[in-house]
Amino acid sequence: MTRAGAITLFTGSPAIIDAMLMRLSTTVCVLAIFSKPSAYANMEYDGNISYGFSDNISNAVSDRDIFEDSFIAANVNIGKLWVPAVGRSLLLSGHLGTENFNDSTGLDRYSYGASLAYIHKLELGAYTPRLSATLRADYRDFDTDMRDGMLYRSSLGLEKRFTPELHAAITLTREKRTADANKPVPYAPYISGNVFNQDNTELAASIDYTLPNQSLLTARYLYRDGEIDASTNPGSAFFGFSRAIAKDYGLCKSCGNYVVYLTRASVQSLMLDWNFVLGRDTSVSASYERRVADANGGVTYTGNVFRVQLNRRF
Amino acid sequence: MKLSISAVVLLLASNIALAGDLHVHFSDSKGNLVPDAVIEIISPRIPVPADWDYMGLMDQVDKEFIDNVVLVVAGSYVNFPNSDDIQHHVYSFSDTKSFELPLYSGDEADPVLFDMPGIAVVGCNIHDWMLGYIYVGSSHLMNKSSDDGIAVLTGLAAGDYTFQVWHERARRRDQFTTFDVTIPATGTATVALTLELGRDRRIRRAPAGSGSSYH
Repeated sequence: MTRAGAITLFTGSPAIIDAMLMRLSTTVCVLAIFSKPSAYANMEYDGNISYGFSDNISNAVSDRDIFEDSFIAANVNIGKLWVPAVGRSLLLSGHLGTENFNDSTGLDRYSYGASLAYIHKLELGAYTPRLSATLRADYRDFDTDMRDGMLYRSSLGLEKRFTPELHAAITLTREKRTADANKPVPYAPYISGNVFNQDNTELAASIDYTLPNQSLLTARYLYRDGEIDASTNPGSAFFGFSRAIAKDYGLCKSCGNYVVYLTRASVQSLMLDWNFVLGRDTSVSASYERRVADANGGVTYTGNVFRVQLNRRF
Repeated sequence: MKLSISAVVLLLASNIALAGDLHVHFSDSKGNLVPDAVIEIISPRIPVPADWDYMGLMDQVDKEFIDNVVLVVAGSYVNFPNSDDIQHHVYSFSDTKSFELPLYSGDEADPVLFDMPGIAVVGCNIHDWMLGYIYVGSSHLMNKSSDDGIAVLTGLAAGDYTFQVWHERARRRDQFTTFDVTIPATGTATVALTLELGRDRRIRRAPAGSGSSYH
């Protein structure tokens, strides 16, 4: 694998920008780990490890194109929280993550990145609404190099706790995924292979409720408008609605010569999560997510993801 | 009030004691022992001793208030040291005492004066799950039940007393309910009380599962 995020948004060498981001995220992590908590900042550490199953990792439509797989994922977040004034805080975080599929090799990835979040509590206390603005950038390195690239996310959030048990949040996110346009091999010479440069806007609303046994139920609805990539066997009728098509090497060992294409879609997702306390700062959760993507040409993609996740705050 | 006195007075002979003791045994409706239930003698009014230490302490350890319930006499100062290696931001909105100790570490925060009897609910503006109670009594004759569910007052002069009971999870209308008891000249008056407690409605501390993201 090589690491070559092409950032077409910026002038200058993608390699330099990529290196800068890597240096930034590494610096954040190192500083966060080794710096002594100052008089003005608190350290925040958390992580999770999960085992899951997806019944449509190719994000395909036809039965013959759909295949399922299980995966293991892990994430570590290390942050430093500054509170310069009452109700105003700044959280600078470094993020490391990995996701590995059981059968598929092409989607295995690791990622590293950094985020900066400004959180504003309108008043003092646990029940006051909070506004947040977050910028996040991650470099993701996949088994298939053509998927490598940056993921930028900027989001605005509003959350409020209504009672000790009830909490709700709503988040608006703009997302830009960039990849090296030269790496995908176009399906045909006259077709763009630039599948992994994508723009999306998503709106998510979630509600949490703590049951008397301290388990936490979460329901999240997400609407996402923008672009998705999907993999299929060559010659698909869906190509007519595609903006770019490339050969998808390595998506799956036994899948044959897949191709991946880019199409506009609106995605709806409903996620239900049931979280159980294992300790003061440890929990385990089981979640189910149903995704339905309505794409150009009246094509509908569906997927279901089951996940068991161990969460730990340090 | 739904509190019930299931046993009243048990006299234990003693030739030496000059005063009696009060033991109040707390249990909930399921028979579980109830810690942190407060008893305070409200009648007769007994002057606070001249050498009384009008100081209280509520520490912060591992992002929790220690103790969860702190008892002080009105007019006392309470220190809120921070024994964690991170900062806390302690506050209370309570009518009994509204205050704020913006982000601090160690012993940086000035003590807070609690000059009015009542309950001050204390929280941390950074860690929402942190919750503590300052019980401000008008009398120094007060105590709280320990893990064995027993609250003890010793050295009470013989006579008739009225005490009030408070627990954080007792229903609002049950808070500060009063009971009469007769303290013997020697020995112990034992009272057993059953509290009807609501569920523990603290904000959950354990991390939530983020579930899966789109990617």
